[in-house]
Amino acid sequence: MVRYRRMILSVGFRHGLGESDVDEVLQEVRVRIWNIHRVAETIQSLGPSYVYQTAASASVDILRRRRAARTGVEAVAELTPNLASGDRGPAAALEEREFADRIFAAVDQLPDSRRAVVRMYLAGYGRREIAHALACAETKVRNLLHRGLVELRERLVREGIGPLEVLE
Amino acid sequence: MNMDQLRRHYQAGLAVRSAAKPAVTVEQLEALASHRLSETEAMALLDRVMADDGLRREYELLRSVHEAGRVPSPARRWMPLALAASLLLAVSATYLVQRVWLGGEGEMRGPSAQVALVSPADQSVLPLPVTLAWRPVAGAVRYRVELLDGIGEPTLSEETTDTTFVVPFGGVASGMPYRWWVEVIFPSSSTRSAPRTITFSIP
Repeated sequence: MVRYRRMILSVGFRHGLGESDVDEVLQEVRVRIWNIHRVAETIQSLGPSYVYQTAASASVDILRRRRAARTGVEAVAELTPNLASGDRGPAAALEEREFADRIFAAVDQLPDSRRAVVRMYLAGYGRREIAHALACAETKVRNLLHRGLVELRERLVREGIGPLEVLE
Repeated sequence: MNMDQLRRHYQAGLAVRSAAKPAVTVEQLEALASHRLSETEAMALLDRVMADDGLRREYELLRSVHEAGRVPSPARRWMPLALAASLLLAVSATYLVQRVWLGGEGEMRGPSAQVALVSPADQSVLPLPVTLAWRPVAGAVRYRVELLDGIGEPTLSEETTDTTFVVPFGGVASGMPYRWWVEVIFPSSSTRSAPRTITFSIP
């Protein structure tokens, strides 16, 4: 269980997965396993595949519960801007928000075939991760990403944002 | 602005984008994270997921759980290496056995196959009469000397209790390669040396 926790975190840590999320899943796994087996020796003999299956099912249930428990107040709170502008004040935060919105608008206009790849890349995912998520070849992702970023640059330049150096 | 700066701005903007009512169900996220969708479906869904930080975080949790489940355990991770090492050991052992038990020049030195041909050397070309010689083998009752022609037909098969045998005139052709070996006959078994080739030159 400890090793599995470490593995989950090693996969998701780079993209903002919190330890509390993982601990919630593993706590749910422990409870489920204990409810079914009740004998320490039996539990110790359970293989990693069993833990994985239980964790997969537990994580889905946790997300369902979270969504169901979400109140209107919380939903509104989620929409409240909380940009990483630190102590730069509301004006700077608003300016940054508007700037991000223009980037999002430019991304929204990209063709369907490239938009998801560009979104993932901008969100911090690497080419290999994107290829894995789409179950396609990394070379295909590289091509889609390059064309998508070139097009995004053109759009942003037209918007007065740039010049932008396309690295991919 | 370079790409890193663009990514930072995008991620800062993304961090506050979370719809009150998610446009993707948990079941769809689960299907995406467990690779149960086609590439087109996955791309369309990821486009929606990545545009909403709340969805992205939910996807990230499911993705991490699935990916961690696919990471081989330490034992499974070392399995290919262990198999390769076993294979290497097996090959080495086979090589050593061949070196120890089957010496050069067709000599067999195992406990049940200790017959070492002495002369003539392999690929010899000699005038008749030729004396074939081998080392004695402990426990041998007798020896059978066999001479085969180019197509594997036995030209000569003689038994002896001696450790030499003289190939007589007649019966063998000049200039043709023959193979010969010695079979050691024990009370309840027999074993044979590796063959050697010899060519007779008849004056």
